[in-house]
Amino acid sequence: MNIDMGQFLESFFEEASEHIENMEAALLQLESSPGDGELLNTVFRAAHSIKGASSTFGVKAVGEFTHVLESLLDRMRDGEIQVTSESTELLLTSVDVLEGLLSAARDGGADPENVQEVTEKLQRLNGMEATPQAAEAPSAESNTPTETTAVYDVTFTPSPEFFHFGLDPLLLIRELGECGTITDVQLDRSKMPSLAEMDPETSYLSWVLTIETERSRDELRDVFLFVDDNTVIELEERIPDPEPEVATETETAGPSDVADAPAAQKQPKAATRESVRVNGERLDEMINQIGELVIGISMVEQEWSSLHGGAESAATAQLSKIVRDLQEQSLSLRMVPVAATFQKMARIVRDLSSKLGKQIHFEVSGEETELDKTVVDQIGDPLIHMIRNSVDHGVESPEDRVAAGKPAAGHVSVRAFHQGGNIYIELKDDGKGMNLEAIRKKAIDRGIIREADRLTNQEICDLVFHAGLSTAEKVTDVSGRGVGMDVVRRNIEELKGSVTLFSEPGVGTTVTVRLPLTLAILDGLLVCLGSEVYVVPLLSVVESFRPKPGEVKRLANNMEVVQVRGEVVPILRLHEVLNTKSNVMDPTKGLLVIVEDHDSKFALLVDDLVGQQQAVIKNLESNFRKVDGIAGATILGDGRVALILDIVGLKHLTPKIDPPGQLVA
Amino acid sequence: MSVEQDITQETELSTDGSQFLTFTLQDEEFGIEILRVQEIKGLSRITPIPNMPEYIRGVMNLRGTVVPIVDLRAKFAMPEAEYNQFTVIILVTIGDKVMGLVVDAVSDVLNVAEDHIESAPDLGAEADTSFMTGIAKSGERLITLLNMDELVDVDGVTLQTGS
Repeated sequence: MNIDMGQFLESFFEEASEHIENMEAALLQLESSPGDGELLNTVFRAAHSIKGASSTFGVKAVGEFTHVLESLLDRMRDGEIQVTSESTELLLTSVDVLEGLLSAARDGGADPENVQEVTEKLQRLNGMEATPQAAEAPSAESNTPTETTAVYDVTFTPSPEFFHFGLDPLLLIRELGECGTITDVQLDRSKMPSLAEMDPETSYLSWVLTIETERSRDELRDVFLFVDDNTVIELEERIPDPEPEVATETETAGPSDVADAPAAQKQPKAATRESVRVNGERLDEMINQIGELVIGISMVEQEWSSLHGGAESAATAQLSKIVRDLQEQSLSLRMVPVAATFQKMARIVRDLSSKLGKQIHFEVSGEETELDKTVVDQIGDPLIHMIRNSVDHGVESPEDRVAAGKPAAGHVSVRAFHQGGNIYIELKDDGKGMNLEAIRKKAIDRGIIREADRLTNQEICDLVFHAGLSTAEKVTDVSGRGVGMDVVRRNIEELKGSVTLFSEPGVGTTVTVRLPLTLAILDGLLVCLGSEVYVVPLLSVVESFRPKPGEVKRLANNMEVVQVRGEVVPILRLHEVLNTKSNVMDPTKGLLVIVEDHDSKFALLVDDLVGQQQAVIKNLESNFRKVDGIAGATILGDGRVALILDIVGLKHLTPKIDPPGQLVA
Repeated sequence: MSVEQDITQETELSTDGSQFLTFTLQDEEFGIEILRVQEIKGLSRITPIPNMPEYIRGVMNLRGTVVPIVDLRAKFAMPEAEYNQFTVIILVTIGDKVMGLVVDAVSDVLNVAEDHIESAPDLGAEADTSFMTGIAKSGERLITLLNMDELVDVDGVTLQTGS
């Protein structure tokens, strides 16, 4: 049989990294509530799953390491080893090692250097309160009262669909064997049909395994933690040997434990989230097709109404509603919660603060807020950069804080929330804030502003996003390594978002990142020019209006301007920039759309406003090439293509087309 | 029907030749490799792209993807023709990109044996023949075979992102 293991391996790694995320999250929570047994259970289950899968896939190093980790976790779970800050620390390090081992196995790189060291530490901690290897091999006379050897009859009846779940009874039996010594195995093959009737993918067998073990009933049950619901596991303890009658009774499996079995198995089910892995490309294709469906429906609607003299059809209206709902749902498939990113931040705050000797209370809220996957993937680095800034430069040392009359522990929070079609992520610290005067001085030094410029505090804060202005007085290991806030802003703007910062000396700093819900859709203002429709990204639009005759003026350099509430804004005739036809030559008969990018404003002259619409963005590069002044294209309700204007690009197009004579034409 | 018969007959005859889709522009016949042809479509609404050479007519919606359209008459400096119900767009693939060519009408699919293809005539420095791979003879017909990659690469305004 020739099976391509590659794809299974890939999904193993994906799942393992999910388990690692869960472990990390639970461990971080465990720090604040060490008594929570359910958290330890979560960590244990994750480690257990990784261990099981890694031995199936032959990723040995991972399997061995998780085994050590798992046995320690198991004893912690039973309360034999106390949960302390040191043990949590060690567990977190182990999670890192595990991650390293997994990526080494996946990419063929070297294993992390500290594997051996951490393994020994784990073993030492595990051995501290028990005889070494006690959990591994039960010796004949290990007889502390809590760890007496007991004999169990384990009846294991896999469901007929057992193999369909990718399970292997042999692996489970072997794992059970690791818990103690299997003294007797009885195979029940009474359900096995004749060879002709047998379906090789159905499980017909069941076993009664007699095992001598020091482990508890629950631990044995944990071996079967991940079997499907229809598989029956019965555990019956044999009363110690002197009672011979009981021993004979074991020939038939005792049903006494049945009621208990399903309850024990339901527990882990509740904790798992149902999810299906889908190739991102296929998802996008489907979303595209549904977009087409929406256009198709509106074409049907138009045709119907032209055939029936403008009458509406109830059927198409209903169909159109369904299809629009479908489109909305399809777009939501790309949405993932920001929780994983926030968790990474929590880890960084924790590690950094202990490294820097700072006390920080980190608070997270709104982690269930969903964003487009592409956005979530790309927002991680900027956020982590900013949280490092907060911890390193923002929050003061405990002594300084107390001296400033603040509580010794700093407070850093990250919050995600929805507002008006956008997602906001707000990072807040109650640290020393930024030295606004120092920023101003530096900006003057660098020639960014002039000495005479009078800036508001907000304007000074905005300066930190300027390239080449880093306020870190000393370069530390942590941040201030040259990657500044200008990179953060650029990254966020690439995601069609924006970032603002406000800092109050002595009180703290707040950074707010605004992000679009998705990159696939853009809120646009539809305008017409000649016979075409163009989309202006709503983000850049300040306002639109039809100017009164006196408001439009021509300056000496032949530049047209319009006065808006005292402000003079240059006019850009869109048809001249794009070299197309226009129906309106007189600005007072057309429409001016005032747009801005971050440092300038200008007014676009178009024929008229068509409306406002959410546009599904298609890029021109996929079949053509980049076009100056055009950000992409979208497909309108009637099936035709409309171009999306690139406001920044349009501005750069202007100098090319500026001969004074052209206005006459 | 007859076209199909022709194809089968000719496939039997020639084993080393290749197949071309032929179309007309201003009474002249042209051919492009059939493997490059994705589909043939009737004319639909084309949205012009600003600041492009005249032969790039714009972009159209092909089932949700935005595809550029080149007018071959304009490309070959032929007199412009009114688009009508017979005007068709041949969608061709160039690398991983798709492009539409506006032509007067599609004729048929032609099998041409290797030895029936003559290399493009050298017309001196005046005429650029780089967009031709050769001329095919089929009975009385002379068919100009087009080199898709060169055709859209002639003056830099192409599907390549460079320049």
